[in-house]
Amino acid sequence: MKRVLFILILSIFLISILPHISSAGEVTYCCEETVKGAFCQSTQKEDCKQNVRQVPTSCEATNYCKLGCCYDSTDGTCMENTPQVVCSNEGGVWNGDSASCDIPQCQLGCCLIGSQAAFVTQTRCKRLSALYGLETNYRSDIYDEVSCIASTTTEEMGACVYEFEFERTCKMITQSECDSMKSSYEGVKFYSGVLCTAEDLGTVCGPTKDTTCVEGRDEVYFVDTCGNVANIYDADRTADRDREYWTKMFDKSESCDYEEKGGNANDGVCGNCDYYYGSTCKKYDRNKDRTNPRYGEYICRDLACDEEGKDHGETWCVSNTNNLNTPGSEYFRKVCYNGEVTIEPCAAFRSEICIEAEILEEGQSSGDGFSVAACTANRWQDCLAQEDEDDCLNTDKRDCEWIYSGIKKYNEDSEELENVNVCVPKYAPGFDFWDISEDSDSEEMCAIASSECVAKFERKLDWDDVKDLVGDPDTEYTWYCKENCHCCTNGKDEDGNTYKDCTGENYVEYKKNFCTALGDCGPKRNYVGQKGFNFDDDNLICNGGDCYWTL
Amino acid sequence: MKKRRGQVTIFVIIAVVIIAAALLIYFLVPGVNNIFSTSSENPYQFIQSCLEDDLVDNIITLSDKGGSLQPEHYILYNGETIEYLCYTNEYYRTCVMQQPMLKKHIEEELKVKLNQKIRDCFTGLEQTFKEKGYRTTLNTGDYGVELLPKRVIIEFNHSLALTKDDTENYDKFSVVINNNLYELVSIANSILNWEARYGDAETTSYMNYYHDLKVEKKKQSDGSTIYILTDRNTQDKFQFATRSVAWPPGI
Repeated sequence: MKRVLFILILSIFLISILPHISSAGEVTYCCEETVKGAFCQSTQKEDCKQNVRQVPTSCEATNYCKLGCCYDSTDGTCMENTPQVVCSNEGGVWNGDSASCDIPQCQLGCCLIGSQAAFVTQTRCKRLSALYGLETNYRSDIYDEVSCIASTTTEEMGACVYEFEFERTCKMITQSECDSMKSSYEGVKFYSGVLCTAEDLGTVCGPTKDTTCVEGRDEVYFVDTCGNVANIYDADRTADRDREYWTKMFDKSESCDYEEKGGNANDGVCGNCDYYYGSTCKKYDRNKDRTNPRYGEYICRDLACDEEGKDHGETWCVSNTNNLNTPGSEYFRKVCYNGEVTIEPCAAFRSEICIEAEILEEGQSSGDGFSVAACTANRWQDCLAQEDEDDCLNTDKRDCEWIYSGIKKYNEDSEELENVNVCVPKYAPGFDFWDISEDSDSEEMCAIASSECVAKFERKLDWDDVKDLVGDPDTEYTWYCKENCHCCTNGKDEDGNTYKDCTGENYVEYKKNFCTALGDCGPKRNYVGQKGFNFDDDNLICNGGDCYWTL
Repeated sequence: MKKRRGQVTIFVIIAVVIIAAALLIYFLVPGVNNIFSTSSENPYQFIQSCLEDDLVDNIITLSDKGGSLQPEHYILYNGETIEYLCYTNEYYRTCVMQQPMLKKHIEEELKVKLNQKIRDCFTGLEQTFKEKGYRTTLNTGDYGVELLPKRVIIEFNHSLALTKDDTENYDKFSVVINNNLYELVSIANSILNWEARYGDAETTSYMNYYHDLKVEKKKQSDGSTIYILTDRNTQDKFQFATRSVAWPPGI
């Protein structure tokens, strides 16, 4: 029994150790802290800081570096993938049941704070409400951020009329805010959905032609003489033209040019801006805005990126070269937001590529639509393992191309030579080919394309042989290809011998294509057009069936 | 000509009367001199102006470095050392959180860094009032730095009694600066959770939700990513580094 138990314990130990022995035979350790200051990393023993815990096993198997959820009980935030030791050292509450924070304390709900909303935990909601001095309004029945933000209809605003310094004045606030004023002011009364400028209210607040931007909102608003925000700016609905517009509150959808394409950008008469359509309220700037607002100082600023000809929110792909997938070339994503273009590099060595699509509206032609791009993984790794064309070109699984390898194979059924195709990366990945250490596998990768093909020739016994026997130095022979003729070319060598029946005119080109498709291999120019170190594709020499590149 | 000279004289007299009246009001009416007094004459303002520049400078430094004034585990980017807040040294694996209590960590960093300056400021405060003939009694307690929505605040449990003819007590010392670090740190936490779960975060989704926010993502050749969060209105910035689901060159 003891023996069985010993074997069992030994097996468990070995199973936990084995995966942590690197290919070079070095055991990796779970370091509580590395010499560089990183916590809970799987690395070599010498990289661990002195006097910290280090065990030759995976960090998941240790108690100190096991990953869990770190919960901040004060702020209500939850951080995923946190090692126990890191969380505890920082004063957090660690929970090892779920590294992805799928625990009750971290369940998210919708926190409504005034006219704002945040998709947070209940504790965080209480904390945020306290910070803003508002009552907690937490809705656990809302399960996603979009619905949460959409639910910020909030309490209806209205005119809160009250007496102040013998004047009947007014504020545009919510009912609860108005109720809270009753302890401080006389004659407080709330009129839901009504503006302070309504004549019936008889307040000192009157209409103006001034406008303003409101924090957290996109539109340009009229303001009244008391400084209250009124309806959305519409130059055709000033008080002298439309008194009703200064009596009650109008919804965004009832205001001028609602959902107008472009969001009324640079429209001097309508302030119904829309961030998602590409405009937002800003103070008029003659250098940035094409039109003066007819009234006030604010306008819907166009958020498009004119210099790039892109709309606000568009993303598109670019590269640092026209010679895609050459050494040094990389993919980038450009992003146009708020009139500014930012560049996001995709992962280096073309381990990520940039893909782009276009959303076309009715009547739009290609190139005029709304472009959307993303960096995505370059899934080239298993291309070479694919032997079937359909598998190779399965874009759900990989990014590969099916090309002729330059090799021919005899098909016993058809009794003919057939092209052998291979599956290669569609986007040749980059290698650290300059790294000659063992860490780099670029040489191995490129060597896959190396091959030797020996063509066999024969010639018939003829008068030239007789001349050769008598020692004629100018004997010239004619050789006829018999085997592997797909990898030689017809022609003459420097001794004047003629080679015939070769079929491999494009053999070297095919091999080159295969080689260069594997990655940063073979005769290539880099992304700025510089010739490679060992090869020059301009100097390909084919000499009587034997082709090679020269420096 | 004589008439014009007379007018000038009247204007000069009026000006002298106005200045004299203003001086009388300033010195005789209680409270007015407090309104116009310089920061050195109001203990609260003295502390605010003594500390705010240092607080702002340290916040800027710390925001550029990923939340630590002297990052230990960092990446060098544009000459700046930026702390890794989520990191793995391995390829293909999601990162391990390195700074789960970022807000608290920043508050601690600021508290420690400003310790000496705070002491100097309160010493300077006492000295200033002693020179003005006050007898001062300063009781120093603890203090705390807190990141709050749209502001950063230092609150002190210090009290100061100034005695001359009578005694004035000051016990609500605080320093407040306007800054969006709280908001930027909250967004950084969200990005870090995405990095820890998926190895990447989508910048545009944050810019769709927060209209004044700019999120930049700069991937580096070693698989690290620098995130730069900027408030477009205030230009407040917070940048940090991660390394998650890194891809090696080749296989």
